[in-house]
Amino acid sequence: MSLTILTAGGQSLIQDYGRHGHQAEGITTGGPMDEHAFLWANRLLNNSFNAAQIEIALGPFRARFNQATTIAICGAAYPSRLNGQAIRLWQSHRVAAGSELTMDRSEQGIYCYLAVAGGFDCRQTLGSATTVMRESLGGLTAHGNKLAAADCVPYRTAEAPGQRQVPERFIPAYKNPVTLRFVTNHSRTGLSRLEQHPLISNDYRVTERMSRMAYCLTGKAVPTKADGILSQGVTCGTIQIPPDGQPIVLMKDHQTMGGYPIAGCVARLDLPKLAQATPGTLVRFSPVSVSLAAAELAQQLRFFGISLRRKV
Amino acid sequence: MLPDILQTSETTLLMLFEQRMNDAVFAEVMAAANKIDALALPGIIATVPSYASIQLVFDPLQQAGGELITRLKTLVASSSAQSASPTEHRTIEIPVCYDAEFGWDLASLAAERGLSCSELVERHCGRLYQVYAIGFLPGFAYLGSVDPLISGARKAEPRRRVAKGSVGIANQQTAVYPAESPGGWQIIGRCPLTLVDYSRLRPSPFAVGDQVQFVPIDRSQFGRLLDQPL
Repeated sequence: MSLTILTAGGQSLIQDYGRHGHQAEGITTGGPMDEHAFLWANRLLNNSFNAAQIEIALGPFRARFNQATTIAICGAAYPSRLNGQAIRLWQSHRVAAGSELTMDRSEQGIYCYLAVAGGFDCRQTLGSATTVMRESLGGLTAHGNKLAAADCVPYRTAEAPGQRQVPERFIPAYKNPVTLRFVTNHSRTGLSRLEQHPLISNDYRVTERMSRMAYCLTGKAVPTKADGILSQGVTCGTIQIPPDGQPIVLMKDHQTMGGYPIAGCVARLDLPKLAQATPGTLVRFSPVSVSLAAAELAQQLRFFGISLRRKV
Repeated sequence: MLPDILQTSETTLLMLFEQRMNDAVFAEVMAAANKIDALALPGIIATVPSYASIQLVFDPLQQAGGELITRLKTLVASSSAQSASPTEHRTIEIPVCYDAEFGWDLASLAAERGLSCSELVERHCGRLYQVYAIGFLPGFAYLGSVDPLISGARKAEPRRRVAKGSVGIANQQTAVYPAESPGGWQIIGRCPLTLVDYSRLRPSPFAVGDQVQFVPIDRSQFGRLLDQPL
């Protein structure tokens, strides 16, 4: 069973929940930029939380389903049509063999997720099929390539789940401005409360320098004691302050080590809001307690049945 | 000196030792990392040590951040007399061809330091390096410390492409680029071997705590070893 890509768009990548446990070797986790949309798409289809999907950024995207299946599309509002008929996002759809899907560029937001029942069936490396281009890992080729026209992406047979849709209250509107809650870092490699002050009392803007590795923001310069710190492990959401004082938020394909002072870490549940923010979007940072952020993440992990086990 | 331990996100803890790059601090980092590994706590996804810190990535459904911090504080403070034998560390030999064809910055760095190229090479090979951290790319090991006589600042303008296997110097660090990548280090030679293998259980040939010895080879040896696994 397979899908044939007719138009791949700017950056279409196979993503599952990520490649976890290898950070000590410099291998990043990768994974979906908008976890919320990704997880809902799998849930709509009764898939494992980890089932591989196609993450689409910069449409248009066109594909043909060679065999019948059920699909769901969640994320930015890409106008989508199945065999010419408009279909709703955040909802599952039965698809007949030979059906053609067209997704046009979205007016709002960036990332959109195409999921199939049973997930796309791609070779795993180190326990994951997630694509990290700069590491030459994952994807259809297993060597970190993005999808291209004429690619054939296999999917499994799966029981057809009933028609389901995401409750309205869980469908986000990708807004401007965006408020990012973050766990503050006042450690010796973080910021003092005084140094942090500009970050929480000014608006910042997303610049054109944004990618799966990091989003560079601009605004009032945030002061730091030193230009750099001895490199230490970082995670997605980490807010780094380079010498020019312009904050950088690390995203899913971040390098595993960072050498800039750290203002804190964006709450995991707020990262999708930043991921979907186009250049020019206003960003506000707001401190949040780690216990509240942790409680919210734990709730999401339980809701979507997510379980991570240590690799060897 | 006991490290600070803080929860930096929903899924990460950071242990911060004295922020200096030296053997004494690094020994503390390694001792703590060994104790943590020996505990084999459920729900620890990754332990990421570096010069003066350890990041722990954990599953919040299996571990609570606050409890984990308490546990680690006790562990680190405990006497090491009863600690499990440390993780095996190895000395890894890396063959390097320092010919001008590969050592793009060798001549200029040597001239800047008032040395001949062969003196620079001798000083680069002449000591054992510690793997202090792994990051930037899979299997990119930050090695230290370089002989001060051959140290060089990062290039003002990084190169868009540094060849796979390139050996570089940046201040007190040296490293091998495991894959082609942008890079700002002073490139003094190239290793012909393929270092990272994703089909291995541990794709990176280096682990923090290992030691590295560079071994000079000539152009024809380079050719014979090209793309062989380490």
